[in-house]
Amino acid sequence: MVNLRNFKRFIIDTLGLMATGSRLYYAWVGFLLLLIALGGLAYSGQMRNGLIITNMRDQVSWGFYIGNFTFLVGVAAASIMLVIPAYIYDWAPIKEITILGEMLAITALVMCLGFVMVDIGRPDRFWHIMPLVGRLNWPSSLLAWDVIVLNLYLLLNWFVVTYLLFSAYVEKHYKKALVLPLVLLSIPMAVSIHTVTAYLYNGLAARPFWNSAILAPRFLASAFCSGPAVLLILLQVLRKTTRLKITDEAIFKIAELMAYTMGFNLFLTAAESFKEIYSGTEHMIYFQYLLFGIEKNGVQYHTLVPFAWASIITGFVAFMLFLIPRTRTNWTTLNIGCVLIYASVYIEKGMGLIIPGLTPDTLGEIYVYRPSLTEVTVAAGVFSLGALVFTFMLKAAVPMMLGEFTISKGRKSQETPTADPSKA
Amino acid sequence: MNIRVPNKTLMGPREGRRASEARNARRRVAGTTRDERDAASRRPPAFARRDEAGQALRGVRSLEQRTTLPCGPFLAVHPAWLHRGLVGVLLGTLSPIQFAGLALLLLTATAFAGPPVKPTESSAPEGIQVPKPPFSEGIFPCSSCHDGKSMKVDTRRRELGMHAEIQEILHHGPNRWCLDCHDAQNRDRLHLASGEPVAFTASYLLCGQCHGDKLRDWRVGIHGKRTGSWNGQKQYLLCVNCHNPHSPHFKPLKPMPPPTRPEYIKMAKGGVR
Amino acid sequence: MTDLRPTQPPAGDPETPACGSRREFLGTAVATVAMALTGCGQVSKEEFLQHNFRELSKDELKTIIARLEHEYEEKYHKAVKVGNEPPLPGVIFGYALDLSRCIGCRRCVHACVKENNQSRDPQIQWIRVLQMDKEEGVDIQHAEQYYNPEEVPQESHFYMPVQCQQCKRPPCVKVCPVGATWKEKDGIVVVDYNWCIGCRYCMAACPYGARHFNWGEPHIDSADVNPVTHYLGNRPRPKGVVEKCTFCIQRTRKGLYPACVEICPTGSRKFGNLLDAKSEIRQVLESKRVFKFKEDLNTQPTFFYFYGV
Repeated sequence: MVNLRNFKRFIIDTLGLMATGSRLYYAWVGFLLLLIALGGLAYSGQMRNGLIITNMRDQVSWGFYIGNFTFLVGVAAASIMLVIPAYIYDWAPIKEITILGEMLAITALVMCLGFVMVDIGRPDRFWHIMPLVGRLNWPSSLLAWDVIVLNLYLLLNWFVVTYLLFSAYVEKHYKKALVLPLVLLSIPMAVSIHTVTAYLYNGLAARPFWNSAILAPRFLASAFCSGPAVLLILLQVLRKTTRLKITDEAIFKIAELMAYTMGFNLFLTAAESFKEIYSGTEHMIYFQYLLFGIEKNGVQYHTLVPFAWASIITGFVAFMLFLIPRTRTNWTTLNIGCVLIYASVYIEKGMGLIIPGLTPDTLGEIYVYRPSLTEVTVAAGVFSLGALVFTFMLKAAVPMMLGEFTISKGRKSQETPTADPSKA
Repeated sequence: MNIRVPNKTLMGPREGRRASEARNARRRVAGTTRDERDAASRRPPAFARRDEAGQALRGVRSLEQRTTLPCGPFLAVHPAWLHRGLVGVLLGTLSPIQFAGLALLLLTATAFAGPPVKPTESSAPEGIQVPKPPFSEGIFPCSSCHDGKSMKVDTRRRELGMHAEIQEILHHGPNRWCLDCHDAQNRDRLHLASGEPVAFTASYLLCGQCHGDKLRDWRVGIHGKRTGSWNGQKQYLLCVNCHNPHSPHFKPLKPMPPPTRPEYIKMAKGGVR
Repeated sequence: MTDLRPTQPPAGDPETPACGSRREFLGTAVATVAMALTGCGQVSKEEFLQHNFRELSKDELKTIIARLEHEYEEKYHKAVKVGNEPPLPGVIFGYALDLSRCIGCRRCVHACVKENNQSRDPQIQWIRVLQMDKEEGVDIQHAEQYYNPEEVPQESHFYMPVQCQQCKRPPCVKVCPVGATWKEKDGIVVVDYNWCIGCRYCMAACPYGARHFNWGEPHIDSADVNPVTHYLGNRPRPKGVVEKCTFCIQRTRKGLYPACVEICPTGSRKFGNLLDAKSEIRQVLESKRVFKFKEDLNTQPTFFYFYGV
């Protein structure tokens, strides 16, 4: 029965599941904790000395942290790729695993919030951004919108996942009337989080590289082709290590949908490049810096060029691999494609978006930004935090999803040697 | 028409409309003799200088305009004027009663003339506060040396023995010579193209003859440095506070240090990068 | 999801009422986290809880100012006064800069630094002077900020100082998520340094590069501190907040010229009340060839550039 007592037990048992596991599990969790500790150490240095120990300066005032934030919002939005076929088209093979997409979304959102926290100059003033308690400049500021939609989406996903798992835990069928509307709501919400994040950049007339109408569509297209890449690999891992039933059909369908979004992403990138380069206005300078490098006062600046072309080439190769059915259904090429598209979009959303938007700066100055060791360490810490959250969630969720761990079969099933708690 | 153009006062290649107007005005003045110009310098300042809306002075006023209205209840008739003939004619042709009537008329006119302007050619009529002229040490008053007795007034253009260091740097347009601005008879004054003397504290009037656009801008505060209050007492600088009148081209300055490049902005000492 | 038969629920326990203590716990938790985040107690409780300047009552503001003055006194061993002059009625400030006369000597930059207590190390400068080619005109991509010749002005170059344009439609105000920056009635765009969270969105939004961030702890020697300050202007800033030109709000609201206007040796800078028809700024706008920087972005700056000659 759904009551508070059972919920308390659910929490305790979930924590218990997370705390025990195989040796490999402990090693993995230990490794993540180590990285988190290192990140925390680096962050404490940053708090003490200020953001000056990053490489961000006035000229490039957003860098690695915000780049990662932007990328991860895309990953969070990608759960939609599972929800749409599952619930709109009522496609059973995917329905089973939608929850995994939602957990990925939660993880990504936790990391997003983590990156925002490490990026702001006064984390002690984070309460200023809370509505009612602080002063949220809504609807004027897009960051205010972002705060609202990201947290609502996090809440939504967290609620759905918790409810589904709790229902499984108390061996009760979840109320479709409660879950279905929420899950359907998550579709426009997923679109909204990434649109709002895109608008954050889009609305700045001061930055012509971002001030283009197709920035939001580009964001969505690249999100939908990169986020599920993580899921595809994860699903294969889960299939092998747990008793989760994930059909080949489901994976290939996701891959097919990704192929279309990849194609669309490439098209939008081409459209953007064409507009800037062919029209050849002064605003072309940002694209030039990104793709070809520029010269100013006798100095050559082409730090980003190899990365930009790597992003384009890997994106194209991944598109081909996903488009052609033969390579899409071949596990090797599929996984290579996943890695390639993930890397491609990571570069595109990170250094391919933030840096050229801010370089040359508003007064024409070029400051070459490279993340400092502190930034990389702190980012590693945040990524590890996300991985840890995801690991814990999977550790608890998979047995519950499989029905191996419930309120009645709880501790007993853990002792049974046949039941194999997942190693994430 | 025998117009004597005084002293090759052609402007340089940058002569604008205002400068040419000033030059033409001077041409008109040139019809008077030097004696008359000197006489003009000894006259009390014309009330007419306070022209409409404080416009830049443009050449001479006719004698009729440059009356003796501010001078109080008496007609200032300088003996020199008798040479000119008009007053002499008047005195000659008018009967005593007619002359008395004319005098009375003029007297009543003077009653409405307002308070007498102090016989200093200061900036007071414009209400513009300026600091003291930046004289070199001990150079002013010039009349301590140029008292008219120990040195003869020599208006010929030549190389000077004294003040050579100024003449060396003198570069204020081509063919400039000291007495183009400095008054030969009263060295404590400058003189306008009309011959009118101006005090050093009102030297902007002299500059403004040629640089009328700058004077116009300066008067409303948009030329030159201003300090003080934007909503209160305005403090102006004289032209010569910034522009050396003998070599007015603004000298280049050494720039203050450039900003630190962002690559070199690190944490203050005591911290680790 | 897997479909399971519901089992018999166990007997329910009475629920523990935990509302009050839960809120206390939450509050303490938040406070603790925040304390930890401030780098172990560098921020006092009062400063932590301080609200946006626009929401403060007169008494709260008095207390805050007293606290700030005390903090500055301790830090700089100097009696720093934090003023709070409101905007003068019937005043909207305007600024004009004569591009034909600026010689790029940077005296304005350093006068501003001295007047406004900008950090010397790490260096912050609110005014940036761009050196550009006379033939090319205002061409930002070929501008040089780090010029350092023996003397200025250099042949065939002209100089364009850039600072906050105090726009009528400021993009920075639009994007601030917490409302820490706003436009005052007299036109000055100000920052509440005790409310800013340092997200730097405003810096991305500003088309003029006018906003600067305290990346590290700002350092000013005691002797260099200007003790006449304004809460929204030149009082010494903390680490991690954004700052920018405020038209010397501590001076202009008392009727004085900004420091940059006063120091300029060529008289290139003009300042005054746009609502006063006789002010010199109005004279400039009405009689000179005036342009606005990046006018196409429609920020409507109240900082104008003109050609005096």
